[in-house]
Amino acid sequence: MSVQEDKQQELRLGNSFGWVVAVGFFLLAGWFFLTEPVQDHPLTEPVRVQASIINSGAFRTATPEPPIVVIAGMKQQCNSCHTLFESKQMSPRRLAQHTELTLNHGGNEWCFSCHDTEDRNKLVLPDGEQIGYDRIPELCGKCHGPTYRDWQVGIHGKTLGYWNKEMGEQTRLTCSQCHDPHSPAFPTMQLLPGPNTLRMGEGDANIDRHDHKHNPLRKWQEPKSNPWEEGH
Amino acid sequence: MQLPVLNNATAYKGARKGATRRSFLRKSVAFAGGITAFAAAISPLKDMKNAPARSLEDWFRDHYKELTQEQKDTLFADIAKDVKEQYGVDVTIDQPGPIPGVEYGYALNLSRCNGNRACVHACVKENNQSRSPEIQYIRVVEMPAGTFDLENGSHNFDEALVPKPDHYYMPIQCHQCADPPCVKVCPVEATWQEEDGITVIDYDWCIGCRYCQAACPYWARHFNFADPYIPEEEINPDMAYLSNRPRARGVMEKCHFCLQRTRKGRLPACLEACPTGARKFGNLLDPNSEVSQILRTKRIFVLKEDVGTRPRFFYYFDERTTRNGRGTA
Ligand code: SF4
Ligand code: SF4
Repeated sequence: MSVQEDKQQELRLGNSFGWVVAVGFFLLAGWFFLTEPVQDHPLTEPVRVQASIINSGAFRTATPEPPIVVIAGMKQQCNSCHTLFESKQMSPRRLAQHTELTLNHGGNEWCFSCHDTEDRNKLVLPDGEQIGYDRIPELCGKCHGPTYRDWQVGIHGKTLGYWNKEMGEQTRLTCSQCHDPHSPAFPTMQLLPGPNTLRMGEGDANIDRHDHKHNPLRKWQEPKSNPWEEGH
Repeated sequence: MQLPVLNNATAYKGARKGATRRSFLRKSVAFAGGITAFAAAISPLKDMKNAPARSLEDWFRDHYKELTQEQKDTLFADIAKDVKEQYGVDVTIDQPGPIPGVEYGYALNLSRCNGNRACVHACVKENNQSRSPEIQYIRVVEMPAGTFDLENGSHNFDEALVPKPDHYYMPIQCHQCADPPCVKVCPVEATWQEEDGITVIDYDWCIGCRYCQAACPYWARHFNFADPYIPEEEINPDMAYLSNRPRARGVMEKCHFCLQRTRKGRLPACLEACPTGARKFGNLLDPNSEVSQILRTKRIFVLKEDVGTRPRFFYYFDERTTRNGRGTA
């Protein structure tokens, strides 16, 4: 075989190889253009949390000053009743009224530790000074000194609005905007949804943390109930 | 005997001459193959619903820190246009700078936190995090009382009511370290610490190598493994460039102390959503700020102090607890 023939043979081979590659590319390109793109999301069904559940304000509504109570759909002040009817007895007793209240305030078991005996629209400090409902922290501070001092400088309690008072308004919530004065311990509450690993199917929720058996590729499953959706 | 081809000049010349047409063919085939391969490579572009509004200049721009204000404004406007096309929402994008004389600090009261996760979801909403795949900047870890061993903690708690007796809850997010390992490892300077202590990420500059995620000792960094999904009606239109503007697939993100709010004087979203008042935020350089008072008067600790990252996120607790009606004050 001459060198020339050898070379031609090589070129023929090279050529047919080139064709194979080219046809391969064309097929690949055709496949890319014809197939639908892979849908990435939603990979898992997101758990919807109602925006209104996230409350960026006070935890509860405090009694205003002067106090307003709604009785039978009518707005009343404490004195609306208490000036008409006289309280029978000025010592701790079981009440026929105010049954909606549960008094669960530790050793403080008497209404008149905080409420004024004369003017029911007022509260009272231990030294007998009548105060309005706007001075509740002072009253609470008479027993809860350390917490009151923390609250005064912003360590205890919730602050809203601006950290920088020069740039905007700052609101410091007062005691009764978080605590129910009759039952002041912060209540247990429902929690918002946890991470997706909780919803990856039977055997994955509440995984035992000592054997990391859950499979992160497992698909999301409908939770038994979703208390965070609209309408719940 | 066969001579080596190179030494047989005549034969080689003849071969070349005879093969001119073939080599042309070969070249055209290679060319066609190349074109096809290129077409195949860019074919995903045809599936993009909207061509990005970004100008070529935006794509080939300098590092964010080297941009003039004018260039930044064009960039922000182009991104706003993109967001409008993608989500159909009118948004404002700017980038407030650090306030002089301010270094942010966060303090969290472990005696008060009850693990209800309001902060987690307020953060997701405020910072336009992907709902699926799920990205959350805050992890709340349920810990058995009497231990600081995170190995005993669990993210997957799901009680009907919290707090669970004999447990406490430790939320963890970016600690805005004063000596951040995440910044040191980034090969392209896509993440850096600013004067007020907030470590930011330029999502346009990030190459998605995830070095920073590996370097962070607090699991604070989260990677977009797929296109983020955010329902249009839940987009927070109040955006900043280095914080809560929508991210793309393949970039890193993390908590930035809500800089789009805090650098305008507001409190972070997680803090305002916390029903227990366990979260405290402010200026560490102001001796009268809430955080400074806490650092001065409370017993505080930082997570993993031994790794030397010097976090600006402090945990503290009260001397006595009133939770569940126990305790006296
Ligand atoms: S907590 Fe992690 S992400 Fe945040 S600054 Fe420190 S090392 Fe970086
Ligand atoms: S993932 Fe992005 S921010 Fe993190 S190290 Fe890599 S390039 Fe830098």
